Amino acid sequence: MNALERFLVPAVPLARVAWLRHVIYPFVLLDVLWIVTDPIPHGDVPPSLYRGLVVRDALHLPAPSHTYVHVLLGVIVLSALVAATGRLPRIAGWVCAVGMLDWVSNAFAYSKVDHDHFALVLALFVLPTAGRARVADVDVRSQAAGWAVRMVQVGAVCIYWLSASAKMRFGGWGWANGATLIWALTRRPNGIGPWVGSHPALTHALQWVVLVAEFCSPVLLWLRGRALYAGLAFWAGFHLSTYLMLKIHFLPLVVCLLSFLPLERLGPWWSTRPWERLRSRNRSRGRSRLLSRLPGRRRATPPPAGSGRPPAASEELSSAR
Amino acid sequence: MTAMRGRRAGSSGTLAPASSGALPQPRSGELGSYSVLWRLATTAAVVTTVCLGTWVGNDQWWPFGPMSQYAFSVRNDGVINSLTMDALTVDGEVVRVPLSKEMIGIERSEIEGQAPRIIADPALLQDIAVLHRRRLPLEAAYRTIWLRNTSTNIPTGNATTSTLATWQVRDPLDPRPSGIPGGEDGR
Repeated sequence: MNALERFLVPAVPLARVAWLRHVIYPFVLLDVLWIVTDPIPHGDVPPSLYRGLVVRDALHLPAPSHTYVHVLLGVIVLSALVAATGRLPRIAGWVCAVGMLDWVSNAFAYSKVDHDHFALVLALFVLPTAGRARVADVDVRSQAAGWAVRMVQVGAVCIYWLSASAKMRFGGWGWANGATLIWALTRRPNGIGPWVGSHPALTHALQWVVLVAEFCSPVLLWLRGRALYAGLAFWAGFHLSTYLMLKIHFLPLVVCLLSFLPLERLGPWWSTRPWERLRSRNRSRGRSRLLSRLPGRRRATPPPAGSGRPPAASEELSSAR
Repeated sequence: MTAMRGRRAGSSGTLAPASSGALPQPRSGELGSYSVLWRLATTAAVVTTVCLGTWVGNDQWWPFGPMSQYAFSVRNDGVINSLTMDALTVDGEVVRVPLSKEMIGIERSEIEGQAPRIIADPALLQDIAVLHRRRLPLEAAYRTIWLRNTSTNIPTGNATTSTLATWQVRDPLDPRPSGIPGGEDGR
């Protein structure tokens, strides 16, 4: 049990959840305003073409109307904006999660279902469970944050691994030697796609690479360091190539891959950059000069002779008090 | 997960920032057994359901539906089918129906998913005419709509087009919806 708990509910810095929120909630805005925009025109589609989904029936979500989808869009945008700031993480987060469940299920309720949103929807439901988190919480470890991060990772890996499983279920063991990629390149040609599609041996090789990688994807949950970064770089390259050849980007999944990265290091890294240190020092000098001119303020006690180090701004401020 | 490896509470320190003095370290970041239990149970439920969705489920299970995009197999000597929709306008011109969310409001892939329904009941094409009038009112209205399929032979590249369904639009300038039930009733 302890090993399972350590694996699925590890203690990670709260800062990672804070950073994930800063990335995922703005991505939700991008998603509803640029990627999955189907629900707005779906508001004009007669109900006969609405097919529904089990989740929509279970939640009694209606066939979308023109007004309904516009109000829903407003709710999602507002909740995502609030959640992206880190305020009201539970309320804003869950409103955004339920709103996105409605929004994306609306998009998929007309007989075309994509599987790129599973990890994102999962992330939206688990991130609020971590509660309040700040990017400054680098040294504050939390199991609640760890579970949320782990669930996002598991969701991403599920997409890859189950894609390979689905290929075996629907396409059979001969899938990799078939012409599925040629089929896709013929229907959605883009960039170098037609050239790739004219080389059947190359398409078979690419299909084998994808199939093997998808089956091996669960190792991401155990990889560390450079091996993990290499794995993530492979998947980023894969998604970039599908975009270049087919204009299919899988961005909702790609953004969830960020959960594998030590995002909590971004804050310290940002504050320790050489130019940032220089700017901070200049600011401190300016502030100390300003303080020295204020009436009633004493100048900071000069450093002992021979110390060779000017007083830091904090020392000056504390001595002035 | 590089940074997931960290000190566990109670092992060598704390979950919160280290504080000075000999006071007991705060353990606010460690969950109680109940909190851990429901999280483990949720993980098991989610993973089990999504696996079942791919192994035995269908698209209706979304978000736990099968991860089946591009999972089907196409024979190397097979054909590539691609649906299109054409229309005769009230101006007497034959045009391609712009099946996209930006234009008519529904995607070609969505029509492909509903093709068996449309072939079985071409009256559904009445709703395409309705959608066209709602979304693109400045374009000439549709009088007749055809659902067509283009089959391209992979080895030869030869393409043939056949008509799958035809519909004479009722009241083309102000078409009314077909009234055919959608959702669960129409499955």
